Amino acid sequence: MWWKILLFFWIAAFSAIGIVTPVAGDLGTVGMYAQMDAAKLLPVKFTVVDRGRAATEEEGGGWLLRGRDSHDREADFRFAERPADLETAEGWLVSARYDTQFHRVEVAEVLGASPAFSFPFIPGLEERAKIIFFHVPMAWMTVIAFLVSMWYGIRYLRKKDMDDDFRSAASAGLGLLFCILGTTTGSLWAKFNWGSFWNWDPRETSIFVLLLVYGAYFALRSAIEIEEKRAALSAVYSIIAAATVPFFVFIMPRLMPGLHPGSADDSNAGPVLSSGGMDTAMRMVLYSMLAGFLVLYGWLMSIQMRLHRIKLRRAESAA
Amino acid sequence: MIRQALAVFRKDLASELRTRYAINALLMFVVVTLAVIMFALAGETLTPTALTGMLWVVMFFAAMSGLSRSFVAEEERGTTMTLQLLASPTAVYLGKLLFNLLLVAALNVFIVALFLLVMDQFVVSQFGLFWLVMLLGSLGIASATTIIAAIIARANTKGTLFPVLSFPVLLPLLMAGINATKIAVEDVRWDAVWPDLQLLGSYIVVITTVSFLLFDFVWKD
Amino acid sequence: MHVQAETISKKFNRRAVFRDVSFTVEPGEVFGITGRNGSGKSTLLRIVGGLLTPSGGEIRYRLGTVAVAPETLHRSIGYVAPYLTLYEEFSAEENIVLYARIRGLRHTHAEAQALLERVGLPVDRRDPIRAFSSGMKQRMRLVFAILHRPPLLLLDEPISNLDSEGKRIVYGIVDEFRRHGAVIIATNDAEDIAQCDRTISVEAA
Repeated sequence: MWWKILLFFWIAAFSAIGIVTPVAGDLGTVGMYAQMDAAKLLPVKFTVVDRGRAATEEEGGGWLLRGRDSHDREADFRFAERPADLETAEGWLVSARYDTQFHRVEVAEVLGASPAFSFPFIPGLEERAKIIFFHVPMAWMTVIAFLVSMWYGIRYLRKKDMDDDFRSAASAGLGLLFCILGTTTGSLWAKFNWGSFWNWDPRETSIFVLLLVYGAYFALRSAIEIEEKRAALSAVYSIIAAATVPFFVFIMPRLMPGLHPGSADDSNAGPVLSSGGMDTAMRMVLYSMLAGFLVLYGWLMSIQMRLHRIKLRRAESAA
Repeated sequence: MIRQALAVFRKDLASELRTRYAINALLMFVVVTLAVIMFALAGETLTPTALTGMLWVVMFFAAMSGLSRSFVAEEERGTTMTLQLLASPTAVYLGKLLFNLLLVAALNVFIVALFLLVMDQFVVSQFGLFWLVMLLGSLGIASATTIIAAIIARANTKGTLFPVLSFPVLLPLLMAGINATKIAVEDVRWDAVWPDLQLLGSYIVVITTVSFLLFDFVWKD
Repeated sequence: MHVQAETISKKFNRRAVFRDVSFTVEPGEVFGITGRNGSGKSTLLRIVGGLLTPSGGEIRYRLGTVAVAPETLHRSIGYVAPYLTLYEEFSAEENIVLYARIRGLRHTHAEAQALLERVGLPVDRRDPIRAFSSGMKQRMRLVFAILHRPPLLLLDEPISNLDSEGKRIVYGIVDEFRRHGAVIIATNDAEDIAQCDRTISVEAA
């Protein structure tokens, strides 16, 4: 019992951490945007080195102080007016851009005190990067659930134990659920980040194929009445479907441009998780969410199994 | 083993030639599909690569309407048990695979011939490569659909289930096949087409092997 | 052929058809399987014929001292049953040629004629067996079962649809094949049971 409560709080806590934690850039981000998109305001976090002074007329007025970012780089920050909590604050999270004329950081708005814990500012993703904590675990669970389903399928073919078939189907059901969730979240997100709901990028195509395979699996199951036959045929089908997976891995990146991190034409080539921009904090939250989803999946599987046993017992006592 | 497989193949061929169960309907299916495409595209000028896509669409649906025949016919006539008593699963699988291969190859030749005949804009720059891709495509379609036909023959809704189950499995083959055909139609760059040919080849080997290993579970009750 | 069945059980959709059926058939024996309708006689016979996998238990086959592997079992078995459908688009002789070819046996026109004569079918009919009467189809099934001279003959209600001449032919075949190997008959018919050396009764679970 205790672990279910723990699981609930685990997932809730890391979801909250994932959502609430602010995204904050550093001086490197500010410098990069000075060349790319100078007008854009970025969230920047820094600590106070020197509480500074009132700026002169030539310097544009306001308040000038010296700040240091998380990589120990220092720069001048100009506030439009003297910050109210100047004497006590150890640092701020501000919305700012680089001022190329005076070579200093122009603060547009103070967002709050400098947070101890923040996620890095990833160009092009910004706050939207947080989807990774939900979307990636769902996508992983889709694949893991399929593999588990196939594994129980193979076990059924070897041992002919109907419980294995039930586990196989239950896992496929959960996989389908995660697949739908992952596809929906990803698609909604893509509308905001890439401009359209669906782009046929390789990863989108593969989740679509997986959706089709799950659909076909259940269509096949519902079309066979004899349980033993249904178990054997659906197991065989999932093995055949799995056998085609390596071909997708080879063929898709060549035929379609990728948008996801880790695509062949991505400058940060490599698997999603090692791609540029994620720091230890983000990775920690992501792995914690993955672990949470994995346990959740195991729990849902055991619930289904228990439900199945109860139904069987009912059917037996009725007969 | 090979001789028994050939005997199963001959049986299917003789049965098909006698009943004309599949072939007449399939040929008409192709003609009708092409007619629909021609009506839909009347007056449009299409590039050969766009027509290549059409060609594969016709090939896919023709295969989907015909290739489940050999197993479904056994099941519908009630001769599955007879065949189980006559031959080993291996011989049955190989025989049916051979029959499906002949059927899909004949079908594809017919489709391509009609395409070349009625679509003026469909010009193939390298026929050698084009036919090679067609051959590999036919092999791939036959190898993937034979086991799926064996599966759906045991289910209730055979006809609709066949394309549903086949499409995800056939997708890598379709993608590589379409790409390779486009290259053969446009102009031949062997370095460009080579990965597709490799992929088609390994797809055929992998799917046939997996089907071969799993056929026992499908065939025996 | 020596057949040893140990604690065979079969379930369909988790409903047991029968449980823990064990028996041994010795070479030279005619063995009867009896039981009420729906008791699973045919199911048991299909399991013995390798057409159905049992849910539990095991069957071992031996030819002399050599064990017969499941992959090659179909070569050693002849099966007759009312639910067995032959290739009805072909004529009787074409069917025989087809069976022989698939089994990898040599076949001659004379042998085919002899087989047809033996079961009392006309030797010169060229039309598909679709047009045959049910009794003639049953005789054709006998041809299907004995063509490859199997050491184990499995007969499921062998005299159904047959006239008295047909029955005589069936019992003649039973008599011949018991010397050649073993015969198992699934039946409730008194005449059939009279042919058997031993019988077991399958009871629905």
